[in-house]
Amino acid sequence: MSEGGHGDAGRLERRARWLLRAYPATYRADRGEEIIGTLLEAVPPGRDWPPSRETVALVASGLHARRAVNLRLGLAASLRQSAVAGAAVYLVQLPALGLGAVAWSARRGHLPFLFWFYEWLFYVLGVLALVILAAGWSGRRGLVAAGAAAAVIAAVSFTVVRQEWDLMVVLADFVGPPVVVFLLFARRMERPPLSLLWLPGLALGMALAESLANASPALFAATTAGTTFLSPYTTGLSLVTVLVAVCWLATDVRPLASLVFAFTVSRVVYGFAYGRPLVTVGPAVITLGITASLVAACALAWLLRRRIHASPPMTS
Amino acid sequence: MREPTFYVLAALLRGPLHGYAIMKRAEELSGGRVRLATGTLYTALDRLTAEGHVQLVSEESVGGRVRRTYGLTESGSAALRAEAVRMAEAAELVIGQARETKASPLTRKLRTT
Repeated sequence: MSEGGHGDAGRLERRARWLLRAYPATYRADRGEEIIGTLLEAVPPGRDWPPSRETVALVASGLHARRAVNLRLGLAASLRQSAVAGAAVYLVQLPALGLGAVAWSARRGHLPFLFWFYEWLFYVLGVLALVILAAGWSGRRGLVAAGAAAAVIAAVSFTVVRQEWDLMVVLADFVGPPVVVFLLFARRMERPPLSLLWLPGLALGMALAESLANASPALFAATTAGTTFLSPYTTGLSLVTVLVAVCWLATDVRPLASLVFAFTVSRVVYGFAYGRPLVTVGPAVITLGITASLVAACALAWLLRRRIHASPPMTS
Repeated sequence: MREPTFYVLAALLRGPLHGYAIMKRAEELSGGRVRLATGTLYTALDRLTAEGHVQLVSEESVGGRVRRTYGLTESGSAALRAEAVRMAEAAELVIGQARETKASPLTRKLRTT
């Protein structure tokens, strides 16, 4: 019995710690242990999950504290960080397409053939894109420039040898814009928090899923068709925008701002590259998504405020 | 002043307390109505500390965990008193008229405290 009770307490503490992640890290370092101690005292013995009342209050208070921290950052710095995160979201398309091709080939049993063709240069660009992303995120602009130079050398040598312009197109469409953004806005002193990395991670997963769903083995066929590239931003991403906004806008505008940024860049590049009109179904969906998410975020912010200031409700 | 804030301050009237003791005392004082959740309590303490109504009094280690004790400041006592006076005046508006006819439960409570 007592052993079971001890196990419950351990589980409870583990779960409480997990919930405490709603708070910003600096706050957790200062107050975390104290809050855990009080919570463990307040929860009746034998429970291995905090009561819903406590759970909601903990998450709401954590988001509240996050918002307080983020507001202190200031608008200009927030927007610069959003631009860097948005550039990262944009940049992950390239490795996603490479990974998608590898996964597709593996499924079809074509993996041995994959590296026979000139696509390997595509993977070189994909790896360089990840290097540039890491450098840009951490504000090392010199390394961004070096990665960009390496990408240019790879693309130019390919173009000279093969007399084909594919890699130059890839370079201009996928690597160019984020590199420019990183060089303009990345700062060592105000790099976006590592916790924001989930955003490019999510974009990578979605672009990967999309390139798998399209089941196109020829990476460059996508360039000529002009459909696969950038298209994650016209479909799934608008839904993600809603999700992101609902979860985060109440506390932090950066994820939403960076998605809007990435989407805008992709529309501009798409317009330049393929001469298609910029107004397709995508922006309409995005606009709708953003509007809906703003409304939802305001509702959430209002709800959180009520929870924090008026819990339990006023009776007098 | 919101009701939970009022009871957090009221809980500290008799002297400094740590987090869980504040929650218990606020519940006790309000007759079980104000049941603060841990997150709410610390948000309130942060705000009250920033406003200068509450201050950190002591810090000790209990079972390897930090336990902080909070107390009322002068301005906290003043704010609490001002709020109590305001509430008493508001109550008087209603109860003063009812006093002649019969004593309501609230009046009785007010008289005993």
